[in-house]
Amino acid sequence: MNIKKDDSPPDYYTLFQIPPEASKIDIINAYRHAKLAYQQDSLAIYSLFSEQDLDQIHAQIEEAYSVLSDPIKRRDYDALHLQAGTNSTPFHEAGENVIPLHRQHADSPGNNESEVKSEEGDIYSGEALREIRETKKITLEYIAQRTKISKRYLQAIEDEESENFPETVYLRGYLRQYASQIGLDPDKLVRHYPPLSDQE
Amino acid sequence: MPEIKQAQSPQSIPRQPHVWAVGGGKGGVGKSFISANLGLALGKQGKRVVLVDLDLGSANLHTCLGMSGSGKTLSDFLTGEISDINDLIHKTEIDHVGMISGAADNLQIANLKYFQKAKLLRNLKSIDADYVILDLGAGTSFNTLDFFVEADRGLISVMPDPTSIENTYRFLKCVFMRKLHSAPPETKILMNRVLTQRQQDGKKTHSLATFLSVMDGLHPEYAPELRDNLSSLQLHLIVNQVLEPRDTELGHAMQMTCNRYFAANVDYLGYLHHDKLVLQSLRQRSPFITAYPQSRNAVHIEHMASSLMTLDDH
Repeated sequence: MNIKKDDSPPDYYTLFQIPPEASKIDIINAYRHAKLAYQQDSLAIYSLFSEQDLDQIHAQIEEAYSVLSDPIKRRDYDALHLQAGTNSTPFHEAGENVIPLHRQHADSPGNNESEVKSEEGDIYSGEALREIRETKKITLEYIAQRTKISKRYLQAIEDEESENFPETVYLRGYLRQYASQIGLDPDKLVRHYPPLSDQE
Repeated sequence: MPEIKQAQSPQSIPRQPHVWAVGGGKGGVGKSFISANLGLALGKQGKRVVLVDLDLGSANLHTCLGMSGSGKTLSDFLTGEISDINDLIHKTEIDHVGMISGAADNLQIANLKYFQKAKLLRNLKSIDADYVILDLGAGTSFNTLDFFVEADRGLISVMPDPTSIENTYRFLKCVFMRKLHSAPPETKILMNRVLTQRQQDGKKTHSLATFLSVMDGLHPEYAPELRDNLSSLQLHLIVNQVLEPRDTELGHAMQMTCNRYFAANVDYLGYLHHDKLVLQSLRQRSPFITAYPQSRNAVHIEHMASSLMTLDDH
């Protein structure tokens, strides 16, 4: 069995083991603890991680700190992450900055019952995913580089081109990694991504 | 044991004791010392405590308590000579604290038969006490793991040296795998394959977190249940015999790395200093916490006991 490791970073708060309401001092301390825990001569990593793992973890620690220590980046991250990952509130209720454009139209007067029923599917449609990604100014190339997923597959996910999908089991994995990169809940995306829902 | 029974208020409703297991992958890391002194610390706070020596192959909990180890032992219960496990309890020098001895037993815990283990597990909960503390032997035999996994809390003693740390991670990996032993056979096969297959660099095996992410992809309907099952373990790290100030940070660091590698929470309970008074108390045949109540290690142990009691009270 060829095991594909999940290279997507854990959410930043989980990585630093701090709550989302952590203060600036908490974040600085957590960053210091994380640096110490994973430094090359740390006893705590003995026998547990490969060099490759550690390189990845070091990069994730720096990335997490660069976001959480910057109030604006942190606010944007929280807006997406906290809604998508830590509670059951659909992210379209989070605030205007994370509402996919087409959902704003759907919420306008005249919204009918069938639209409400397909709400989850709409939120996690390929088109909506692209909008969220572009709102966050994340390129497909960046995601491809971070996840080692071919850009062709990422493009197929956003275009919902099922003929270009990998096998379903891989597609689920790719969706999870894609979701993590743009700050969505991986479970929800796999559950509601329309081409997968159609199969089930 | 009269002291224990007298301490129970007539109005109190009989309830099962909290069971804490003290384990670790390696011998000589202070499991018996920690078990004994945590128990005595609880007793000093008025709790009714029974310490159980389950390190049957090399039992020495009685020595840490300044006792001889003679008298009835677990063997008498397992062979049926004693029918009530409470009749095995020996008095210690602290009121409300008793001990069940494994001393002089020929039984190896690893060789306990299934029905003996089941009998012991069942009866631990009928011990007449507020707290039952299990002093487990080193190693990762199924029997040792089962006592650890079935306890309400698992305490792991680790020393700041690479051998101890390596064995601690191995022990934890076995604990988590054992916790999932009731998972469907297909899941266990997959888990074994993931956890034993080496990564591309050929050096390290995959982590439990990787197994869970594989489950997320292959069986998203089962993965949350597995995570919940693992999260139900209440694990606490104690770093023992710290020498340098930076050793005290090891617990925080291991808490972080465990979270990453095992995708589970392992709490850092505290640390104990390397202290020659520990050896001195053993030579004096006197429990450490009563021989040196003002020492910094006694203070740390009492603090740990209080922290765990607070968790149990909520």
